[in-house]
Amino acid sequence: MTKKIEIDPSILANLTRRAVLSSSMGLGAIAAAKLLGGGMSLAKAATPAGESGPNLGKLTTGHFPARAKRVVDIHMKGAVSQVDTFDYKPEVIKRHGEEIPPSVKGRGKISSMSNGQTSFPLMGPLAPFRQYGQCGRWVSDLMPHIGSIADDLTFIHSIWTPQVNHDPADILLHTGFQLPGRPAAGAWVNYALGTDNANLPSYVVMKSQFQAAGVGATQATWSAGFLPSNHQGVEFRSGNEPVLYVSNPDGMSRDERRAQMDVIDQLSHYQYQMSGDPEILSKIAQYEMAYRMQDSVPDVTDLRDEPDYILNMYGPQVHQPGTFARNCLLTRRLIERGVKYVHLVQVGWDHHNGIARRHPPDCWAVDQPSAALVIDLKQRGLLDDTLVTWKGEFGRTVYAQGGINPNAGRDHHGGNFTMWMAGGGTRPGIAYGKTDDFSYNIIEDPVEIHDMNATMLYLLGVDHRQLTFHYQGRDFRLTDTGGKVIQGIIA
Amino acid sequence: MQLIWFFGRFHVLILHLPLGILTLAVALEILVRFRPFRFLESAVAPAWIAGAISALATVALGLMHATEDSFEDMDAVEAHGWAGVTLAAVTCLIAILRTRLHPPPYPPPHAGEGREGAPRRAGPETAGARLYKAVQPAFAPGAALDRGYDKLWGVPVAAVLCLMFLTGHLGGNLTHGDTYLLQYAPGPVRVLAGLPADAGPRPKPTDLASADIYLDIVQPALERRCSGCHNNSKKSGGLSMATYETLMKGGSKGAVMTPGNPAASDLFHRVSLAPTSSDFMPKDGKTPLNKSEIAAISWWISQGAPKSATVGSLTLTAEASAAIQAVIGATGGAGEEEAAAAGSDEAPLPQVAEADRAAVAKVVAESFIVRKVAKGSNLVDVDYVSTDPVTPEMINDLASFGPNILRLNLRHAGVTDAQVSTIAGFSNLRRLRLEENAITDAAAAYIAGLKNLTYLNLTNTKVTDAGLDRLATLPKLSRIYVWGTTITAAAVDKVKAACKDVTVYAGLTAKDVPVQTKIMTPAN
Repeated sequence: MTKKIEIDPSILANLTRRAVLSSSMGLGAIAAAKLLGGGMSLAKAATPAGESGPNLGKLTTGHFPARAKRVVDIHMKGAVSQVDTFDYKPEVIKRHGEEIPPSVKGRGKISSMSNGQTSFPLMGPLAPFRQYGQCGRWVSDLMPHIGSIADDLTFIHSIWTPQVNHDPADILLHTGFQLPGRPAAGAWVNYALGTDNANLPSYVVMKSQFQAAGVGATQATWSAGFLPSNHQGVEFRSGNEPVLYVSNPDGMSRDERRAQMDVIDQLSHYQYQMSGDPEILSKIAQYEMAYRMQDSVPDVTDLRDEPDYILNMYGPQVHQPGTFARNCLLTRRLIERGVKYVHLVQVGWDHHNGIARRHPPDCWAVDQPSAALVIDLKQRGLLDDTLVTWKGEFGRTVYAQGGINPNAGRDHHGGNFTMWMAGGGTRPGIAYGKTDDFSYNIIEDPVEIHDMNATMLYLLGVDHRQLTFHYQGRDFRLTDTGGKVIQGIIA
Repeated sequence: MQLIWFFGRFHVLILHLPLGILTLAVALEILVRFRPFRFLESAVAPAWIAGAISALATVALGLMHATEDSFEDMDAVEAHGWAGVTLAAVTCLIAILRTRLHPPPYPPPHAGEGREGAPRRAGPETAGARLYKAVQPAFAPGAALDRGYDKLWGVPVAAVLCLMFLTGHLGGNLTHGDTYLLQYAPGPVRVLAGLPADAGPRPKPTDLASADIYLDIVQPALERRCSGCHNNSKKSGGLSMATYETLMKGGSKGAVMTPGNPAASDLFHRVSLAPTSSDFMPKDGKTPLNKSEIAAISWWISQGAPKSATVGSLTLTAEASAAIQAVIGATGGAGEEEAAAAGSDEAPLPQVAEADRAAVAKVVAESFIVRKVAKGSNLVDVDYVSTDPVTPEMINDLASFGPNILRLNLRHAGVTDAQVSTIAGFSNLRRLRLEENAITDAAAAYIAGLKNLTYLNLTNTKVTDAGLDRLATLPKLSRIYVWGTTITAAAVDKVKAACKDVTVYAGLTAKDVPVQTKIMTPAN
């Protein structure tokens, strides 16, 4: 596929400034080409990673030996209530209905959705908690399957976000900045380390939903931002055919398709020769990937080789394409085949009212599949070098929104929320960080969003301070100007 | 006092004036004795005078600076002070001797003219004019002083040169520490100076027992993490970690070391606090010591904090051994500070020569992904990424750089027992993925030769109880995955009992998974 292309210097006049500057030649090279009057080789630009073979990324290798080779990023869009799931507070159960102490609530700003309330009564968790495993972790009865694997999980109770609304918080969590436009963590990983497989995208996104939800997933959280567009997450659709138009239409054989591809490839290279725009190379690579995916995607989605008990492990919804359960199973199959970054989004959770009625079904839809994914990765030896992270974009308030009544809800709470991780070199069976007796303030080891991303990159062998991309006159990075690796959760 | 200290600190700035001016004066003094440079004669005296003034100013500021009590070695300050004072005195002397006074012009020109041309009466002689008149003959050109200086000029000028070097050197030692100047000097120069001939980097310790606990482990760690602020010039909190002696001396609040008792040693206490604590070191978000470094320092203190002792000669605990090993690996291996932390459950990476590029390119063309395990290491990670089965030739191609392969992934690659016999020669292999291949106990027998293996994935293979038995005794193995094989629970339990360091992951079976069919109803 790689071809050595001779480019006529006079063509360069038609290039956009950015295309020139972001390709592997700089102004000096252009000047030299003009002065020497000769052609210049763009063969190197044609495969940014190296001489041949799959793209190994900008870094080709980590700054230090990696503990994790792959990441599963599970996101609960809408914000799970930590009070009702993983942050066990007996004091809140005891004081159910009482006003939250002013010393706890403090004078910090709260969301405009509940700041008109005159009373902020504590609301106990929706279900009883019990202890699980050797580590004795307290987990709500809403999440019994996740509870049962507590010994494999690393809980962080002290992560917090400065953002108060869903999309900014979600975008901050995934890109390190609250406004859209920066590359997502997965895109950075893809940019830095490329791919570990030949026939599937290296960065896959799957969305799912169980109940009607007020907020949706945002593409900004798997966008390539200012990185070249081939680093963007590839979205698998829910439904029987996760990738549209990947199968050949009736009457077209694979050989014919190949012949067509070869012609398109030639035309594209010709176009590239004319314009020198590196985006064309992205496009060529994507055509090639699509061609290979004609074989590899059906192989991923064909579940006939899965034993019944494995399917059962993911729960009854696994039989229904597009559900979180099915996506978890597909995730395992993608991870097995060397996909580096899988981003799962389950939309729901944003229960400002009726939380007692609406939170349990959302928990039910993710509890068993999430646990099954971890168990399945573990028994196949993949959890050892696959990092699984599970979180919302923030938490929910310990006080009731709308007062204590059957239709009560919980408002957004960025001051602290709970996430868990598994595998990939994290220390299993521990809980990091502490919140006060009301799950309202962090009292020990606060974790910033940047710290989480720095740690994720660290486990992949990448120093977050050294992974940069020069754009608009400065070097950008996933962790912006922050980020400390959380040594306490690393095995 | 504060004000005096404030001005005193300008000493280190102003001192460069006499250094420059006096060098110029000495040069002029010599040059004017050669005919082509005679014309510079009139510049000599002003140069000395300027030198003298700047030297006096420097001395004054220096005396103010010396009133600060932050100096560790007052004797050195005093020596520097005396040298400086002597230098200033000699310079003043030369300035005086070199100043030639001409007789006062009499009557002074224009003395009789007022502003409007009206005649002005000369006033009474001032005291200054009388003094000038009195001393002028002694300083007149060609007077005894002038002639004497002309004969003996070499002595005071040489003295100025020597004193300048001496003062400057003593002062420099105060600022930068007395090993600063010759730190990178060639061996013979160091010997002349009475220093040990080779103070270059210590050779990297090759094994645990022969590593020196202070020189190879603790000192480099302190150097990396602490000496940015605690050195002879900066001395935050009065503490310098430049040498063993200054470390033991402690800071302005007293000793930081209690040999034999890490808990009572402020040094250990501060670095082992929670990073959020206000007493935590290092401050201001600087990279803290890692777990291994802290453990090594703790153990060193518990052993009496010797200035030099091989690890082998002390009482080693398992924890200390692992920590020291990790520190050696980190500083020796990839040259990356955090390399050891990133692979802490594994021993330091072995050093190998770089794999032949042509051989790697050939393998890449055969659908392998070959990636170095970290920057600076020649070891590689290899993944097979085609859906076609591997051929024996491909495995042979891998063997051409077999010792470079640290991790090998041959999942679902149609690997045969015979091919595994080739893989068994990859001596540095630590992680091996062979899941979903039709390999049998024969392959397990070959794998038993991979002594560095820590991770082995045999899920969905045809390996049986007998194969597992052979593998469980691999010396470094910690994880073995056998889900989807016919290996029995009894065999797994047997390994569990016999090999405490090995975890066998057998996974779930159909009877472990209860079937649920009820789908919860969404609430809205």
